[in-house]
Amino acid sequence: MTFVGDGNGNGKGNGQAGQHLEDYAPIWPVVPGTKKISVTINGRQVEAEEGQTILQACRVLGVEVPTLCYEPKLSPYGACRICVVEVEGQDNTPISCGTQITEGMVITTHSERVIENRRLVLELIFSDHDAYCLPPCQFKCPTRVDIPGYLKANSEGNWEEATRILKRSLPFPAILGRVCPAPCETHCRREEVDTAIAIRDSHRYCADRVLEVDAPAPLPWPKEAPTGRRVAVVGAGPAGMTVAYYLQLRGHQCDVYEADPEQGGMLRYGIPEYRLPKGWMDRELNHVWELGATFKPNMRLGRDFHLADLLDQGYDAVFVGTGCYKPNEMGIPNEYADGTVNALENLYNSTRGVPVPLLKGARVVVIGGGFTAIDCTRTSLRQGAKSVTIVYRRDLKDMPSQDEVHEAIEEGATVIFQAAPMRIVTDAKGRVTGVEFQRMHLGEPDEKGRRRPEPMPGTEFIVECDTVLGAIGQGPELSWVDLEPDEIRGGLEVSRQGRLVVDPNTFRTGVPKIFAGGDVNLGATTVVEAIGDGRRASYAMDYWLRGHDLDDPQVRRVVSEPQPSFLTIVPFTDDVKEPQAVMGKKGPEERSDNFGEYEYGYTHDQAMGEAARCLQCTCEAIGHCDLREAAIEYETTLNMAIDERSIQDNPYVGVNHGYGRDETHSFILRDYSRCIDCGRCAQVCKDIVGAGCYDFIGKGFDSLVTTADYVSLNETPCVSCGRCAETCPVGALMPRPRILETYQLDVSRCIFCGICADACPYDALRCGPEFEFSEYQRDLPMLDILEMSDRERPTR
Amino acid sequence: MAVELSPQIRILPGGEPRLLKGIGDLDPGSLAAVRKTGGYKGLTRSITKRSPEEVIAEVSAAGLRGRGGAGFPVADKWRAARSAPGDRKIVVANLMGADPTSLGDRTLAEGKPHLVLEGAIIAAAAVGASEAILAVRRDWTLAIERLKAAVADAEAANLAGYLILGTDVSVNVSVWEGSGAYVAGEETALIHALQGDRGMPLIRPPYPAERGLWGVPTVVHNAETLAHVAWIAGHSAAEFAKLGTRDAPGTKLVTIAGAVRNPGLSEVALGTSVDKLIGLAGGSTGTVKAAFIGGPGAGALAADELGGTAYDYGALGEAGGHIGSGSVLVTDAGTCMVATARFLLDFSAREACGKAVPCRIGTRRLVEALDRILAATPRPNDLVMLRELSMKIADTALCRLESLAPRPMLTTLDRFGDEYRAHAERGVCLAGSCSTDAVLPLLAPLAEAGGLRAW
Repeated sequence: MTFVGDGNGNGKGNGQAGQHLEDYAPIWPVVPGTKKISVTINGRQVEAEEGQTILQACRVLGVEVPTLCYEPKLSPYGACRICVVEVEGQDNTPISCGTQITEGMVITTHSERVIENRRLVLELIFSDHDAYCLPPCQFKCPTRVDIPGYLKANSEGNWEEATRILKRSLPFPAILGRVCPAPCETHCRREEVDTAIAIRDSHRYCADRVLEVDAPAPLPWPKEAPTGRRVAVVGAGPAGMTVAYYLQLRGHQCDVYEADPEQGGMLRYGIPEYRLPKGWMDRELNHVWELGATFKPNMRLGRDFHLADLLDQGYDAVFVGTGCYKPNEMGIPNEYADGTVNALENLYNSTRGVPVPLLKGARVVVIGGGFTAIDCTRTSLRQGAKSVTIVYRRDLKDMPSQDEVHEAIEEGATVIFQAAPMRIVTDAKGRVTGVEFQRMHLGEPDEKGRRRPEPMPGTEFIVECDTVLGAIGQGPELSWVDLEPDEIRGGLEVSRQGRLVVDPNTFRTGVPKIFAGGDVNLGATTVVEAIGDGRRASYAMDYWLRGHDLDDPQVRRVVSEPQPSFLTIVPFTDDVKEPQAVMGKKGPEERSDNFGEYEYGYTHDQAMGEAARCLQCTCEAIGHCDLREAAIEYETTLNMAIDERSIQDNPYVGVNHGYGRDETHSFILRDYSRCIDCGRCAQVCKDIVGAGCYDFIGKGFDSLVTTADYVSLNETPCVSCGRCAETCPVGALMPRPRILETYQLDVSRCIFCGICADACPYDALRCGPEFEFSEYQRDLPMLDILEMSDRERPTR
Repeated sequence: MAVELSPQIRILPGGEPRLLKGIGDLDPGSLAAVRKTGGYKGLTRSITKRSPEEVIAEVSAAGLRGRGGAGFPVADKWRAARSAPGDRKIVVANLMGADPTSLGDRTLAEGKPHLVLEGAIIAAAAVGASEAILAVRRDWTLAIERLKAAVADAEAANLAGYLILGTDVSVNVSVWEGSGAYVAGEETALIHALQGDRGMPLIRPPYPAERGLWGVPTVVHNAETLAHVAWIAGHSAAEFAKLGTRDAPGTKLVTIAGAVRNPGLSEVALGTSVDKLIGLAGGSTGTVKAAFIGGPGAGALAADELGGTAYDYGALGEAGGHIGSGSVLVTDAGTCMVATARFLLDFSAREACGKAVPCRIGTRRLVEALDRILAATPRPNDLVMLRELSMKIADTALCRLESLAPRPMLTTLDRFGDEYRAHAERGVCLAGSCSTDAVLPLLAPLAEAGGLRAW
């Protein structure tokens, strides 16, 4: 929305009025002798030219006013009503595209009332807009991976292309295919038909197929030429490795420092082998080294080096992704008694295959309900524990690891819900004999919607055990901060929860050149969150390394990736029911005593079938949709999750249209569901092209801009010029993706009738001056409709 | 000999018949009879004895305002069109029957086609237009037949066409048949339709008087306004202003329907109190609860306001109503206000042309909210939303029909808020019955004859 336009739709932008005025060349005709009139726009007295509309004057002056139906080539139309402004002395809010400026006019473009009215327009449009920008799965994934895109490739059996699409925003699909809690799947629209798509299992399959062949991994895009910049990444965990992967691709040289002898961080030392086989994991993580990054193991921050040393060594940027390795304290008596085991230490040993003597043959109590608690439970069983009891203070449905807890129960664990530890009971020698718990009662929901546990006095009970594993979470280990010199320590802020504070959009700390992200900033969270953080951090760092100012609002907007989310109202009902394909896995007896991977993964047919179930509810116009841009600007983000649909977000939700798609035309793809009835295509087609294929059809709420009687474009006088798709501000009309073949021209059969030259809308074929010598040439520059569709462009 | 008119046209006795005088008795097919009763006297005087400026001054002195809805001063429109540059100018008579409950234009076209034609030619001569188009709703077959005959007769008598009455004034008159629609009452939408496009309003300004049909200055009036023009030209401005108030001189055709004993069309002096209008229609069949004044975008006035409110451009507007299409819908104690508001709003929503977003989707959302209230399943802040959305629709409106659409709901919400709340909170109708069809019988006398198909 912050494009500074020249009044003709060619924008180049920033948000501040009056800045970078030299950057645009106004195409508004500057006729010598045109009368200048003075108007006040947003309190600034400015000169404009007689005959300009308010919108033109604003655009020339760099004041942003959003438009949807305004087509610069044509006279104002006035359908969308989003370009309203306030003019002193007028009762209503007139539209700026259709109001000519007059001497002394006082215009306000962003008053409360105007913003409310613009938001009204957007909310009304969205209440009848059965379409998504990002599909809900993609929106819910922290990495924003193109899920419909890779599923499409999967359904065609093109595993390499699927993996390439995945790696554009998620460099380690095989790893996440095993360990991701799959927030995407809880918001899948297929749920409205039968069951959600197995998104995680599907990318596990395609990534595995690519990993198992001995060929270079597919790159999301060609590696860029070296920039000469050097980056130090501290921590070879999910966040750090992601940063290194993307920065390396963008041509920056990365050195990855790791405290442990091997790569992976929590992936290696926190996730047991049976969930993530380490050999397989290394294969995928090695892609980072294949791109040219260097690994510096056994280098612990604070012990072997300091951030100051890195800056002294001339690194242009440093990314701190040291993760969370400090277990939280339970704060109960005897917490460190003989017989208590640190959960992380246990996993650290178990994952390396080192036996933990305290677990062998012991009765174990695991306190906590997170992934660590479940991992501890299942490794304890595999370490030979006699019995394992998990105690969690809330209910099953509040349990972060609720899916996996069933597998733990299958393997022999017991779970006690709604109980919190009071103290650890010890014998005279100080050895653990049990844990005393108190029953919890679930009170009012907190801000996350989880009900707060409240103690119930008098309900204490003791669970007898030999070993206690406290797994109630962990925080970042930040003792190294204090060892840094003052100028660095002063810039690093540690939050109340003991996390490193960074800018949420740019991932900068208070120290120049030092960025941070992943668990060290988020607290202990999922792998996919850390990877998502790492990806966004790498983009911000790349901008910064290329000399952009991260404080520039335009840059901030790009790196912060704002997303509107749209309400789904019309559920899918008419699709054929075909429930999710489920991966095979070993039975509990087979798996509970060893660390081998227990899930088999899909078969070839299962993977293709599962991917084909995807409803592909994505929008091809994302990136050049004016409606989306306006939605972000005016914060009309509507919740789309099924359980979050709410009239608080959009009071105007009501009946809506679920129009179909017209894919009959070879060049133009039409999706009426996305049409906002701005009428631009109808005007352009009639007034500029002269074909008149479109017009408003129907009356009232059912009005729709389409062809007469809704016929296919093939039945209209369409000349396939593509101008309708070009002017469409949303994704209702799009150049259809096509693979253009080379056309064969048999000159020996040509009778030089000239019909082809006449018919070609793009002058690709022309009659030369001496037609007998006319020749077929393709090396002249031609307008490429595919290229046009890919271009990021302000469509106004 | 009584002249046949369309069956739903009922002319009430009483009132101040000027335009309606002789309707039903005077044979519209006989030019001689028309001329005998003063027909074309005004035209003759206007083009042979007076300059166009003098004609405009006369209309201005009469204080005639457009009778089509907006009430814009006629003389101002003419001056703008006359002074607009351009050789070609056009006068359009709007006979599209935008509001199906309003009988005025149709009655004039059927009963006194020559009066409408005369007014159009006077207007054309005054603004310097050489073309007059009578745009008639296609299903008004009788009106079309008589207007066409009138044009042919007038041309044969050199009262229309080339060099009228030997002067240098030429006005080519044509009758254009178009599909009727509520939105065709909006002049720019009618112009769009005349150009062969879909009838949808355009951004104003430029006003049609500066740039209208085919880009030339165009004056659009409804038939009643043109009939008044002819009357003024035939009589005088002073004579015209004898009836009506100082701010709103003259008479107005009013269609009174609903819970009245004798629904039909009447002509009254502007400034008459609203309850007198109800009296003209034989009084209410029950206890009057409210009157919806102004057609589909009507404002509701409660019973106690009716006596003190003058039917004119000033006081009525302040009270919340407006003259609009000249229709008055009377409701009695047994009529649910929520259902009536919903009925009128739904008409506006369904008849919307679909161009402006707040109108296309917004009015539908208002109807949905009223449906929820009627079903006693409102959302928590529906009553607040109704007001806010209406205000914003008016704020961002493209055309007048759009900004008026929420008015029946807003005015009843102000006066009969307890009915809304009873519906929303308790699911009780204070009026007793509130089927959404309950309103239709109110219009039954008009509907019987098929005049309300659009509703």
